[in-house]
Amino acid sequence: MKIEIQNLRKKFGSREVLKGLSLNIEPGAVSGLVGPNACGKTTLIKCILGLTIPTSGEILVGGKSIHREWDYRRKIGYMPQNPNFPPNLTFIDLLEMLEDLRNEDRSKSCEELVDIFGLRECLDKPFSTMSGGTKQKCAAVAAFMFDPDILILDEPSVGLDPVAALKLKELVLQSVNKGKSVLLVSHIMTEVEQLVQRMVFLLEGEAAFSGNVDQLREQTGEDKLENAIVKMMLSRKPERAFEIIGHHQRMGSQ
Amino acid sequence: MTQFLTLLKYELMNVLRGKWLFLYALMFSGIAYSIGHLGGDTMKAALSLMNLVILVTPIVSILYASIYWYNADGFTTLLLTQPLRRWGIFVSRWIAIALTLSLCFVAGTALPFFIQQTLTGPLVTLLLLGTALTFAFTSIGLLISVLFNDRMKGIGAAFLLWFYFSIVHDGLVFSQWSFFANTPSKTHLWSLLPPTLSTWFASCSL
Repeated sequence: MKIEIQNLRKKFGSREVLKGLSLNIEPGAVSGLVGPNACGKTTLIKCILGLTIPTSGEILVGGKSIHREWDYRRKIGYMPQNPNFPPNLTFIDLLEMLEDLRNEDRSKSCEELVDIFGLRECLDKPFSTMSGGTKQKCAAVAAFMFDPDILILDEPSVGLDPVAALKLKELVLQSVNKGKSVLLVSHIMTEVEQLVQRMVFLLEGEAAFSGNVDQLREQTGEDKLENAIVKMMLSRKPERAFEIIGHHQRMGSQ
Repeated sequence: MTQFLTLLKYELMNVLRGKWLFLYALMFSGIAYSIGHLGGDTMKAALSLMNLVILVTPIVSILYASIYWYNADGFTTLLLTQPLRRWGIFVSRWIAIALTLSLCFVAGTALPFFIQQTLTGPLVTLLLLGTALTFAFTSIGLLISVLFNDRMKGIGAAFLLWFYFSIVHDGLVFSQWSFFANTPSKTHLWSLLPPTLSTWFASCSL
């Protein structure tokens, strides 16, 4: 399912965070949302999820405007960066609650997801007794459990152990193969390199680049994605970008 | 409506599992038992309890609602990302917190009098007054938490509002009342009354 963002602006007081942003999130691909801190990535995600109301502009999900709508969220699975579940509820309470609230059955894969992330023995544990990584795994199950058409993953691997992170990557790739739209926010370059087919580069609330990864490499003249992104991030300070990339290459050759 | 009731069920489950709410009920039981045990009639017991209820229920309600909201920040985000209407999320939380606090207050206060078979009119009025105050101050607590993103500012504002409504406002009303004691018309004073109306009503009925 396609997400279309048209001339989106968001102001917090006098500070304009999104400055007329226009881009499309295509189905059947992982779109990476990359950019420096405070460039508007989280605000954009919040606008898509309906957590923040844009100052102007429009967001279309599956061709329909989401303005004042709420049922479109049925099509979205969201995995936040720092999941914070009610401390007194157990994991099974959460799964049942989501099922009751959406009034739809969890997909058969929910049981599989619980096993994939090794959460079977955590089902009856309250969230107050769980570690950050375990909560992150629970958030992954909650995001994937209804087999949604759109997945929004905000720094999904932060806090996950390498095994869980690998399993999450496999799940993302499986979803893409089924034709789902995936929007991934990540600062982990290896993860971006492995998963992302299309890249949206946000800089000071504007899309400085939107296209596939090869186009980004071509545009910046860098083979390594990491260097291409650094160059893009510091495109308004080119001398600083050359300095960082040069230093990085010298360290690598040593 | 089904969706709202489902939300309410899970909010209630979460609030009811908070163990220290039982301490709140226990505190009222202890105080009610002591006052009831000291002797005197039900009217005197109700008046003594009322002084306490007017101060304690608002501050517990306003602070509990604020702290609960800030602690449930991530849970609120999770609910807001689900296909749910916003009003359902906020109203169910308000009802769950206010209902649980009211139940603790009513059960804690009524139990000693119920056992002693002295649970009569004035005490029932007092229980209703405490419940009304709990609902009112829980809603104020939630409103403050929504308005202030910063937890410390929010809790500070909650405390200041409690101080104003529970102490300063009553003082203002009564000082105005005495100041205009010899004035034929005191209708303008009614504009100051709503927050203290339940107190005033309870005092009259007692």
